[in-house]
Amino acid sequence: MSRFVHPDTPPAAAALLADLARPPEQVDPAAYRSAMTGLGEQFVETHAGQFVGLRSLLLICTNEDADFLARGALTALGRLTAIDVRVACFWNDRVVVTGDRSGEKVDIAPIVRRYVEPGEVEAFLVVKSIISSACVVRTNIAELVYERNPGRVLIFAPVVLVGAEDRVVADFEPAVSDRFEFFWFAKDSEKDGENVIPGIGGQVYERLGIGTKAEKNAYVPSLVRERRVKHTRAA
Amino acid sequence: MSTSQRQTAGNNNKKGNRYEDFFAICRMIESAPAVVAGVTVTLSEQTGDPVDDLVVREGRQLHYAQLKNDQAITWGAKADKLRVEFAEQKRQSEERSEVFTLTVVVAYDHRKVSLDDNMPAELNGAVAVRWFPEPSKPTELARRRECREPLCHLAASRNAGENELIALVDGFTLAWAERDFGQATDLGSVIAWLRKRPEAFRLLRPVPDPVHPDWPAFLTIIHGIDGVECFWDRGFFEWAFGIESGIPFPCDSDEFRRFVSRVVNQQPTTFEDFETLL
Repeated sequence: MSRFVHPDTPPAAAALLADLARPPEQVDPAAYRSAMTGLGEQFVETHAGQFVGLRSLLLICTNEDADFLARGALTALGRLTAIDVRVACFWNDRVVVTGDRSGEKVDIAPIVRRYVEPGEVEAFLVVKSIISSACVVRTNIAELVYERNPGRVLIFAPVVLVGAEDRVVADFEPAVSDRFEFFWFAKDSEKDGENVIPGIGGQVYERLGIGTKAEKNAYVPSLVRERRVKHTRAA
Repeated sequence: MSTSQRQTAGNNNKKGNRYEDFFAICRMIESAPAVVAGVTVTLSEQTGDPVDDLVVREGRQLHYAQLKNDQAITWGAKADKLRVEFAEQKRQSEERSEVFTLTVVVAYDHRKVSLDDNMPAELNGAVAVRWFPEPSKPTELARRRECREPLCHLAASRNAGENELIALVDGFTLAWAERDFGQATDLGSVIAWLRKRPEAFRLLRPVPDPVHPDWPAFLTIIHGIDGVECFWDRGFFEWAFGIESGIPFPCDSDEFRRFVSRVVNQQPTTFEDFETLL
């Protein structure tokens, strides 16, 4: 196991990271959800200076992160700033297609469902429980970055696999990727199959208790249910 | 030849091949809507014709292209090589009474200007010069106008997002890597290959007839839910509700058939009920 903890990581966040890495027998889904929510709050509190001067922001997340990591960040942003925060939530599949002859691989994360609040924003805040292959993060940024053209794209994951930043940047032209700013609390360098070690203790949807990989896209976050009332009427 | 010269030659070939691959992928994308409409299109490389980097046969038409991604290409370079090749292709194609086009494809805009300005009289009106800058990566093609329009036409969603278009480019790129080298690539087979993988590549597909045995009942229920719209004319089931939308499955899939059955059985009357059945 090889982990590098960022020097800016506060002790409270380090403790929450340790909770995520513990096995399911020691940390049940309720405790895991609480830790993930806490990490979202810790990120905004630790990097509050990054949000000074921003008036509007689009918080981008996946459906499995919306009620926990994203909710934590949203709560702290509401407490510490006056930023007008919009939310975009994506339900992603993961598909790898390998060529029979060439052996070449296409690794994609098709968006099967989306909830995107309208309006111009100055920045994106992309939150993701872990960035490993970076496929989902790349997909969700690409879906909106050309259309909304934010001046800054802040990308936060409590844990990243070494090289994650390069993998996120890889598919974008410099005019876009120059706006990316990465934030993380821990950087791991080992992987066992699909799981980063220690990472976030396995597959996030399973640890959060929202089902298996096949079931996770049936989960509709409370965050979306709460916010759609206002925005769907407005649309 | 010294080692470094060999390496340079090798790198140039690799660079040239990469450029040729990008252009072939672009041409596949440009021609794919015609294939979907029923036209037969094949792509061949190095056919032995004077102009043969890429030969696209589109129905009766033949499109010959020679690709030049160097910064100094002229009609007269290397003993008039480019001029002679195109003049000879024109002669042979005319002799065979082909319906054909001839194109020099260049990576730099100043080469297009130069080749256009210095077009040999014998080729004037018969040869086009196309500026095709080399993409840094295949996905860049999704943002180019010449590919974006056909990609939007091909995409399963009514208003395809960036990723749906990028995934299609990825699909065409992989399909090109999978081709039989030395044989013509049938674009119809490429489309069929992509359609076999709808979970990855959302390409519009034929709508089953009937869409589903319970389709009229399904539509009555959906139309009764305030604010929900649905679409299926591009072969995928697509729904929208205010600022939310989804394109969960192709209409010829078991998942779709099970979904329709769930809706018909449970008869949702609100969006909140409907979304639990997706």
